[in-house]
Amino acid sequence: MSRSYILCVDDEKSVLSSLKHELSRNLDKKCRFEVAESGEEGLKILGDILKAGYDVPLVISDQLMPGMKGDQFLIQVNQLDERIRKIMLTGQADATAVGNALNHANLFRFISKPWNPDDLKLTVEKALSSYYLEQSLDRKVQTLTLINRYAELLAGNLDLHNWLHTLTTNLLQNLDITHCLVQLFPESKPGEKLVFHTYQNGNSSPVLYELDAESLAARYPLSVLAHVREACELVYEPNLLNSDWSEDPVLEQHQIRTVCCLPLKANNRLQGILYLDSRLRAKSINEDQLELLEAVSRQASLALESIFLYHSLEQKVAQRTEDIREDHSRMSESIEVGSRLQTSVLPKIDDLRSVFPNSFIIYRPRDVLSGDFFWFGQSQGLYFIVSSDCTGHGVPGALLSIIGINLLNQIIKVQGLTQPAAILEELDRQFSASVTRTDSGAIKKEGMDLSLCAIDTQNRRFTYAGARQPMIYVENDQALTLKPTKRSINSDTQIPFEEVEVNYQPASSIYLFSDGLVDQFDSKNSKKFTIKRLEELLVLASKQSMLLREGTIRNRLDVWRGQTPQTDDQLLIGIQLD
Amino acid sequence: MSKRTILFVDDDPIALRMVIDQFKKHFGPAFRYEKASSAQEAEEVILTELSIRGQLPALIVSDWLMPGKRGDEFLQDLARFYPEIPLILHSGHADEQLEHELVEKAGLLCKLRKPWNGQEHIGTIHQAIQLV
Repeated sequence: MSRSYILCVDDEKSVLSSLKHELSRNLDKKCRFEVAESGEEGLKILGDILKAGYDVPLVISDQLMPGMKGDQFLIQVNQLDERIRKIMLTGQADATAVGNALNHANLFRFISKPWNPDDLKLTVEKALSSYYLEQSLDRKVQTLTLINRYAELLAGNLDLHNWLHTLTTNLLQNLDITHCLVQLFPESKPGEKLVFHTYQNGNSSPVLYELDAESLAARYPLSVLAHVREACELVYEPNLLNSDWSEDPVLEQHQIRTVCCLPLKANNRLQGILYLDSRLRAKSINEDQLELLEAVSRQASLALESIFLYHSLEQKVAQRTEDIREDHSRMSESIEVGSRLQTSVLPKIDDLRSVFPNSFIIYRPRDVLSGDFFWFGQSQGLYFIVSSDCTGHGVPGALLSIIGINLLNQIIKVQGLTQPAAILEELDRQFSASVTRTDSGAIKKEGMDLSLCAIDTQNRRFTYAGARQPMIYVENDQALTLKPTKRSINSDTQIPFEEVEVNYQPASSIYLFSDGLVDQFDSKNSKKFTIKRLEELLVLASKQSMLLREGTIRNRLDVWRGQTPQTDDQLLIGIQLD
Repeated sequence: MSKRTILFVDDDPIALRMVIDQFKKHFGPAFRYEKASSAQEAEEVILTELSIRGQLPALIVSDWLMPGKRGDEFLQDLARFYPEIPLILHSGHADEQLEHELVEKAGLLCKLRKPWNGQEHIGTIHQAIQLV
């Protein structure tokens, strides 16, 4: 604590010396006495003491003096610094003067001459303790205000460099120090030390620099830093000349006088170290400031923890994004391969055209892989055309479509079944057997809708059987929708599949299609295309040559959809029967 | 997108010519102009638009009643199968019920009364065509 003065003012030298004598006997040695023989002189001395930066806890003044009276003097003292305790001494009880001083000078006590030594001693002690109490409260409030300011500065800033800059430059500006250093031990990079420092640099504003190990060793006392790191306790040395640390050569070399070094610790983990020193003078950090620094270091530790957490989260997110991107590109690749495989399993349009030259297939998967598939085969003089729509689209749809194609090959080409209804029954049986052979029952719901047409070109006749999938027959500008049995392949319904036989006219056409076509929403996403519109379109298009027909239908579907996303996989097979 | 087509449908060739001339005069080369004298011809134009140009007519200007197998069904068919094509009626007849239906289900923009009244009709068409 700095030196403090008690000022006594009286025009009688004997009074002054007896006051001085009595008080210095009883009081703390820290307090010194200054005396003045008039109010004017008292004000001048008081001004000088305050200007020099010393405390004046108490002024004792006589009332009756030549020149300035005691009450006037004390009022002016009060205006200079109202915290100063003021005691008035007087032989004559002048009520006006005492009242004046009480009201305007914030008088602490009035003592009449001659005084009782015990009374004087007690009063002065009380005045001093009241002054110091107020002073320490003031300092507490100041410290708290500062801590609060630092808390605001340090919280909510997630950019490490910016945060460090704020912390160190504020400390450098608010404290009487020359160097400030922060050493960090990030959890995500064990063993790695990040070191930043800043220092007073004449009048220019301080700049934050990163320090490498070599510069750190050259400029800062490693022994202090190591101690704080290992013991995880603060080192506060206001006077390094006579301390245990003076062996560290860096302290001597840079004439470091005051050192304060604190651990930054949150949740039992040392996040880093905050180091401050003064290379100008000893005791540049006092006890109050130490209290402030401890509070700041606690705030800083918490803030640092959230900064580290934030950055490690950011890194994790970036890593995860990268992982997802890799996964995605791996999956895209395998889906591309899957798509090529699926295409290779599907019949070629040229195979179909070698039998029915006027035919086309519109095949539009919603994703890369499709749950729709078509099949074409020839057996015992009949041509079999199948369009099918498996549950779902994408990968699961595509896998089911492979099963469907295999089973159709098996049933029609190997087993030699020719009746469409019988083929569907057999397909249902084998499909159920193969997809429910798994251990879990999860696949039970998987199935497919399908239409099958067996064409007998010799007798101009075709037989149709459908599993929840109709087909359209167009003859002489008339469309006839052939209704399917209301039963999907692999469903719980057990009504038998039915078939319809149609004797066709030359130049008539058949169209097999999946529901993705008729369920497609329009450009306003409000209406479905519907089977009615498809019928109308097919009637109109059937008047055109095959060359134009496919384009007309594709374009009509495109115009209908506009920018609306495709609802489902789409498939349309058109065959002109001659 | 390529230049779009306005389709005119009327079985009276003189009325057809006159309406087309009026449109050409006011909209010039902004559109392509096609005509049809029956529902069947109109359907062919729509198909050609679809197959060759990949688009539907931007607007159909049609008479109310026409001879032929499906003449009077033509408008209802349009409403059902091509609800997205805007429609202007050019007719001397009136069937308010069908008009309401066309406004609701099809893109009926407005009705032009026969005989042709230059100024008034062009004003209406200008407004209607803003919506196309």
